[in-house]
Amino acid sequence: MKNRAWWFLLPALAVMSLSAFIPLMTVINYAQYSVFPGSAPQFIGMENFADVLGDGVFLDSLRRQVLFSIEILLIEIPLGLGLALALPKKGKWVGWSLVLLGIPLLIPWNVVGIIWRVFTRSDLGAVPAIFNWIGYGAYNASLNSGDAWWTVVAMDVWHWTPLVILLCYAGLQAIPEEFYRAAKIDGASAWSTFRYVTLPKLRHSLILAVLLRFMDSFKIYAEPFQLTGGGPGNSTTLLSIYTSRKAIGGFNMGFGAAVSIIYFFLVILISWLLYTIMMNVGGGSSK
Amino acid sequence: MKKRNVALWVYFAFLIMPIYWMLNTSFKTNNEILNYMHWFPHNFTVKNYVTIFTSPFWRRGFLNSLAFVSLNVVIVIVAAVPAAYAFSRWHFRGDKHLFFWLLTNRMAPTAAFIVPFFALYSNIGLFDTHIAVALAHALFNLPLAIWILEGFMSGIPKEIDETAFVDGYSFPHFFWKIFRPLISQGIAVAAFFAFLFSWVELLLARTLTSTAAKPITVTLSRSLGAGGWDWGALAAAGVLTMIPGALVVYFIRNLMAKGFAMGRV
Amino acid sequence: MAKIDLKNITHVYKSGGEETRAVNDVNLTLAEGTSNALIGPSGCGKTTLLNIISGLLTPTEGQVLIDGKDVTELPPRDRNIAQVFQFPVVYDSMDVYGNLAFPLRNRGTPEGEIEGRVQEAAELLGLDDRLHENPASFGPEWSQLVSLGRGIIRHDTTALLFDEPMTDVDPGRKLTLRRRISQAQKRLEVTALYVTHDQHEALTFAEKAAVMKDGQIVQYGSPEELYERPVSTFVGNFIGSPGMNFIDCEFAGEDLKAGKFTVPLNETMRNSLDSSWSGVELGVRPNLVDVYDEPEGGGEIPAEVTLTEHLGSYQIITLKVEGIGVEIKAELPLEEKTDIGSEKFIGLTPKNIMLFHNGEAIQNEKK
Repeated sequence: MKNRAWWFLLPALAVMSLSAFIPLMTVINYAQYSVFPGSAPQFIGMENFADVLGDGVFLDSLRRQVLFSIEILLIEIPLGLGLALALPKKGKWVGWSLVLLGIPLLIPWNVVGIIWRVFTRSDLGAVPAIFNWIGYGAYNASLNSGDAWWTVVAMDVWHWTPLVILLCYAGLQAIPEEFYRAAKIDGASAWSTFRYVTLPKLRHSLILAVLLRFMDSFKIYAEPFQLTGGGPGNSTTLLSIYTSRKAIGGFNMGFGAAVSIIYFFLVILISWLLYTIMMNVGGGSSK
Repeated sequence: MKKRNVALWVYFAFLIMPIYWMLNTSFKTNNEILNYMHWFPHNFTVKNYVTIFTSPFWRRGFLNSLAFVSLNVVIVIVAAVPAAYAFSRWHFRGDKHLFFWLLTNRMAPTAAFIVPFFALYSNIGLFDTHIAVALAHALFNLPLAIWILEGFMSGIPKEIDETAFVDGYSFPHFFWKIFRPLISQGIAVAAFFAFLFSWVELLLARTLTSTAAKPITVTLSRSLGAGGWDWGALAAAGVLTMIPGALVVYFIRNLMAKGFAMGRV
Repeated sequence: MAKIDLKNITHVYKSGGEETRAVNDVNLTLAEGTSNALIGPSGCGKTTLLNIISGLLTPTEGQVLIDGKDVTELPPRDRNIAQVFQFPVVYDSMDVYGNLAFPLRNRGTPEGEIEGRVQEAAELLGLDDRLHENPASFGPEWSQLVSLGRGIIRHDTTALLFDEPMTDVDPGRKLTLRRRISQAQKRLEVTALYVTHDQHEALTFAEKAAVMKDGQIVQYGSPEELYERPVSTFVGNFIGSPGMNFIDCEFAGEDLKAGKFTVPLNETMRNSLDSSWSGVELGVRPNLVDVYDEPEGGGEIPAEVTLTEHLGSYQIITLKVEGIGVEIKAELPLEEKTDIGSEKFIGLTPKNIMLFHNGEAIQNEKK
């Protein structure tokens, strides 16, 4: 029986070794060397890691990245939950609403960037025209770093809130009707019903939504790359943009590899922290 | 009742606006795009679409994308179904750790893997092939697919397997005849998510291809830089890349609510 | 503690273009403090009627009166009615204490008063040891007690409604739960209505039961009345396990003829018949079928034993009578020898039988 399980896992493990294990080992290996094109790699131990952690641009991108993930979680999770609650449970519009919500998720990520570039560019976009009309004529996402930042955030909200809505909506559909009936009989107000029926029952959907949104927002690359290219200046240079610059364009491949490992480690660490915190909040509490 | 409807309308307007603007732009001439702010095309033209359909460049990009996306879906499903079955049915040494390790791969930042991927696939001669991109995307899709399918399979009582074996079914016969129909929805959902990620991803697809296997997304990105800005053609190409996704969503719309529960609720 | 009146209640579900009449012109009065059951086959409208009483549904037509006050349009919280559902509902983000206190907190009861009431209800239901456990880990039996606890915690609860509460409960635990429910109902003297399709459950719980069929109440009475004087072949068949035996008969002078056998009638029965009918249905409870090994000389009908079922302290045998299209079930003591294939003789005496015409009882008076 035990051996049988491993046979079943074989195809998956074979694929993962090509797509995960070997590449990861390579990065770990690189990270301990100083690798310059045209010269033999030199073993330098942990020096690359020290260099990365001392790099101001890295720390700035990291700070920006954390801020970005916090902001989009604070917007997308409540918004997605609220809209999922507002969405009708049945009726002819449900199917169409779901199709509409699914569309942004299936647009290639760089095309999302392009859509938003076309939408917000000062020479051909609708957004500057609308801002101009309401009296904020100074809007310019390619010159003004504040505008650029909020445009990237708005794009992410546009792109990913549908995922949160769909996850919550699926969770809502699975709550048995009896819970709402019982809450009515017990005289619960709309808020109590939400607090003691809906929210606890949606816990797993919400945890999944937060984790997926955290991981993917922390890894975001193609959309801001296409929309702002990380600029103006470095104002929208998120961690992935920094990493790929270092990995491809940088001279020292060892440095790029060290960035990659720190990056991967951070995603796992923060995901684990989020998961642990969420599993302990809102469990059975006394009185 | 009223208030929630207003919220929904405002949201859906926000959802449609950027797409509408792209569509609007794709039917304009470059002159109109850059010099006027029109909410609908005054000089309606399909020239941008003609440009794309007549260029072998763009066409090849589309075909390349479809090739590695389908290949990815096949690889992911073929590898994930038996693995998910093993996780859902048997306890073996290290099963929890292995499952968790698989899931952590879903967290890997793509940017961190581009260099080793490039090195690995160049060394084994797979660089610039569809299979390279398909395998690279499996890094993210396979863990998710195993996780989704494990959820669906755990919802199916073990007694079904046992009854079938008692009735004298061989394993492959049981799997195909009895088990597969029961998890067909789970397979559809896993395939949907594999398609989704593989179709939308840019960074790995760009790193692992140069000419022969270059996908449409990369063609699109690169055309931005080359020789001036053909905004009209870019918008038209963007609109076209939205169509396969929209079609997929339309066909699985009845599975959506269940699919996003991912077999876990 | 209240009297509940249903007046001409009709409920129609509309979905698409189709209308389903789930409840059809129901009139029913539940006396104050009584325990009642509502039984009937699946889909007969029981649950709909229950939800109309609790206020989860507003009937298409008719009125619901609680102590003479029209509450038809009032929401559940203003009716002070408690309901226990088929699917056990517990709020798993709160412990048992929080669950029991929930309806009181929703009404703004002071915490000091809540504590005493929770204690009281918990003791009554045997939950006092588990007040600070999380009910998420409870089995269906305990979960149902928690739901019941939320129902009885309010002092002003007018009625307790149960919607097939035993469905998910293990057969072995049903008895305990039923006893607890019964105790609580009697102690609080609260009007109760218990919906089920299991007549055994209903008849052991309730003082009076209403039998429902196709959206209508066909009979409302004590368990004895339902058993001994069913108003129709439906009730006769539905109540009792196995249900009443029915035999189609023709008139034969003063008596009845079933196939080639004669069934004698008494004076009252003869007078209740109408000679324009083509025939009647004869009904007899399995425990009232007389079975003999030898003919007794009173026109007994010969029959062959085709099946025997031992049910603890008695047995049910199935008898096949030549020339009559029905099988007759009879209840006998275990000591009787009832080999399959053996011949028996069935005696149908007037005091044991009932007559029905077109499914309706002709006369209920037993002589």
